[in-house]
Order: sequence, then structure tokens, then C-alpha cells
Amino acid sequence: MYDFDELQVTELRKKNPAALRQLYKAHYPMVLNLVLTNSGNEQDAKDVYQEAIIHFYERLQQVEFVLACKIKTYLYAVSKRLWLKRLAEQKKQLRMGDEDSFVGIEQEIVDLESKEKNFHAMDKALLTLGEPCRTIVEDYYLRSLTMDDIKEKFGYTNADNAKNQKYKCLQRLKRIFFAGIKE
Amino acid sequence: MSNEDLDLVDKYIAGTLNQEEHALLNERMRIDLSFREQLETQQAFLKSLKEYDERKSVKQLLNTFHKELGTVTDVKKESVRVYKLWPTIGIAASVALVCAIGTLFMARWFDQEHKANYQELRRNVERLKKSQTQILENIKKDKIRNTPSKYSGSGFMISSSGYVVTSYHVIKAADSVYIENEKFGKLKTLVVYSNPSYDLALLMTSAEFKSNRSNAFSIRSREGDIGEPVYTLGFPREEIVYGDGSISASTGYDQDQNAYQVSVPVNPGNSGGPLLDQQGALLGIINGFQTKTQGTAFAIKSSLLLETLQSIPSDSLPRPLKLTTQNQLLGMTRVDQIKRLKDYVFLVKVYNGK
Repeated sequence: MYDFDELQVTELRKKNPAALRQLYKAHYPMVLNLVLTNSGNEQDAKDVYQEAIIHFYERLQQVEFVLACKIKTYLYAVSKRLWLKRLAEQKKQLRMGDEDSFVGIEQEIVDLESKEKNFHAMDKALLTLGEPCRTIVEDYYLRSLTMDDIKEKFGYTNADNAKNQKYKCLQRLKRIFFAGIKE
Repeated sequence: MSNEDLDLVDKYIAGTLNQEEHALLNERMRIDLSFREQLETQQAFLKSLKEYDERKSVKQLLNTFHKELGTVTDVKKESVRVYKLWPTIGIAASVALVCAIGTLFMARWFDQEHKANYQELRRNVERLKKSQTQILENIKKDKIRNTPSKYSGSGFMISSSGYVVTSYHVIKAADSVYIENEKFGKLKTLVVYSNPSYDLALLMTSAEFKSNRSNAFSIRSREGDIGEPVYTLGFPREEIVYGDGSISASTGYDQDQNAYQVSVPVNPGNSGGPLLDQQGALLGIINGFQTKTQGTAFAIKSSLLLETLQSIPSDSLPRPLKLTTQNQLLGMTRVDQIKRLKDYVFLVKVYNGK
């Protein structure tokens, strides 16, 4: 659609950090201005903008996602919606029209919020889980360490002990996480 | 779930089971529903964990980018300092002037470049238009030649009492219509109602029909959005075939408000097949495609099906037509949706004596 956007999208899909940096820097002033002129501060702008960027970036990793508008429009519309929601939570009213948005933004915001909720639930669950459980689970499921590696690292007498420990840790983490989601 | 089971499940999710173990586990999932549920929970959990991890590293990355930006207050300080640097401003201004003029020229140059691009694009559109009219003519010619004794399309069940929806153009001029699939075999049907203007037809099995599952296809009334992922099931050949894509436009061929344009690979025989959204709810009925453009198909919107069904006087229906209002597939993966839906998609076979 727009040549430059297309190029950027291709690079972002490849998870090119340079493209992400460029994207981040290119549109921040726009959102900063939006938030500053609508009773927010820099921290608010940063939070809202980062949420929008992360969501956009994650959506691009989904093969079926098709960007139906300009990147700028997408980020602006999503940031604006998020900021409006924050303001509504603080019982502040705003006179901002719903122009420069795109089709399907509702669904986009719903998706974004459920992802955000998942993220915070997992963050909290991992914190509650504590050490060494957290590292064991992360090592095994995210860093692909073997049970033997973990045995060595944590000084278990044999791999079975390590495995039992991992099992208990995971069960506990799952319990906390799913309880957190339901809240 | 025991520790051993967890091991097995993890290997299954990682895809490191051997063929035999894999088959064994599949069988077990089929029999033991609670085990299957546990496996799916683990799958969902690991997905969330991975997403969490990736998102965390992206967040870190963004924070480093943010630090590089500096803050608004920094910018203000700089602008104050500028006042003290009057002499340098002269030089800066002249540099700025040169830049501005340079940019102007550049911009004009880009403008011209773009114009060239634009024209080229338009020519492509012209060509497309030509090929479209050609297709239309071909379609018209086909209609005249269309007298084979037997042809086929797809259809899908919307009520457990045996009502099946298909495209009108599939069953028109039919002497007898049969539906067929793996689960139910071959069934004779009657054309109960047809709506040529929306290209829709309602069939009903001749014999009393009772499916054990109360749900068939649930029909979505909300209009689909552009870019929304969709998929189809149909019978372009004797075997059920899956296709996926997304909604590319909210109007069909020649700005037809009643249809969507979708990027799903379809073939003759897909006509009358269901177009489904991510939740497995019915979004449209496939009814045509563009021959020259690959992967461009059209589907009648589901809201028109609802409208048509509601307009049928109830005394012209031999059996009560109960629609499924609750989508029973919510939250299921697409593979599981298809497993359940495929039993309710049919090959529609049409015979005529001519």
C-alpha cells in the first residue's frame, strides 16, 4: 500500500531490532503530543505508546495479520483509544472525536487488553513463585536447558530430583497464573 | 497430571515424540477427555509463558530506545540556551535555508517519481478491468453452455433437523439434489426455498433427520471486518478441502454490497460452502471467484442468509427450522473447530434429465 510502510513491516516481521528502533522513534512525538495536550504527562505517553508498539509488533508476528491502514494511523488510533480509556478510569472527560481511526480497532483493543492481562498475570505469578523455582522453570521451558544441566546448575544429587522439583514448581506456577487470570 | 504424563505432554508439545508414541498419545486423547483437557491447558500455559518472555525482552528494548530519545524538558533547556548563541544562529539559519530549499527540490523530484508510479498503477487497473469484463462474459457464455447432466457444489447444515444451505446457482434447474459426506453418507434432499437475488437456497433431507449434536453452524449477524482471518470448507473435489485467508473487501464483485471479497483459494465446487470466522461462526457463503486473479473469491454475507431464513413463511417448512444461537466452538483451536464442523459440510450433487 505504502512503499515505506511495507518495507518497515517486512523488517519488523523479521524481528529486526533496528527497524523496531526506527519505528519507535518515528511515531513517539505524535503520541507524546496527543497525551500532553490531553491532560497527561510524559510517563503516561510512554506507557500508552509502548503498549501500542508492543501490540503492533506482536500482531505482525502473526502470519494472518494484515495491516489495512498506515502504520502511523494504526499506532495513533490504538494509542488514542488506550489513553481515552485511562482518562475514563480517572473520571476525566475528553472532547476528542473518533476520526483518524481504522476498521477493526475495537477488536484490536480487546486483543491488546487480554494480552496485557496475561502478561501481568504471568509477571505476578513468576514473582510469587520465587527462587529457585522461577529460574528452574525458565531454564527448562524457555532456555531449553536439559534436566542434567539444571541438576548441575542447582546442585541436585541426580536428574530425577531435579525433575521432581521442576514438576512441583510448574504445578505451583500454573495454579497461581490461572488464578490470577480469573481475577 | 503425574510427572510422567507431564513429560509426555511436554514432548508432544515440543514435537519430539516418535511416531509410535505420538499415535499412542493421540489415541489416549481421543478416549480420555480429561487428559486431553490437561494437555490443552499445558499448551495454553506454555504459550503464555513464551509470549511473556518475548514481550519482556521487547519491553527492555523499547526502554533503551526511549532513553535515546531524551525528554521534553531537555528540549526546552536547549531552546533557552539558543538565546545565548546569537552569532551561531546566523550560520545555523543559512544552513537551514539551504536545507529547506534543497528539500523543496527533492520533494518535487519525489513528486514526479510518484506520479510515474501512479500512472503505471492505473494502467494495471485498466488491464484488470478488461480482464474482469472478460471473465463476466465468460461466465455469461458458461451459463448458456451449462447443460451437463450432473454437477456439484458445497452445502452446510444449519439445523439439527436436517436443513442445509447452499448457493442457488448450484441447485437451479435441478431434477434431484443429493447431499453427501463421510459421516452421513448420501442423502436425498428437497429444495425447500430459494432466493435467486441473494444466490441462496435451502435444502431439507427427504427422510427424517436427527443429528445427535444439537449444534450445526451458528450464524453470525455482525458484519465481518476487513483483514479478519477467515477459512472455508468445501468440496472442490470428492474430498473435503480446507482453505484460509482473510476478508479483503467489504463488497463483492462490482461493488456488490451483499458480498465480501475474500482471499481464499477456491475452485468450482466451493460454491455454497461456508465461510467461517476465527470462532468458527458462519460469516458468509462462498458463491464465486475471479478466474484471472488468483485467490480472489466472493462470499454472500451471513446477515442476508439470516434475512432470507426469517422471510420464509413457517407453514412452507415441513419441519421446524431451529437455528443455533450459541456458538459452541468458542475458544477452540481451528483444527478442533474443523473436526467438529466437517461432519456438517456436504457435497451437493445435482442431477437433471436434460
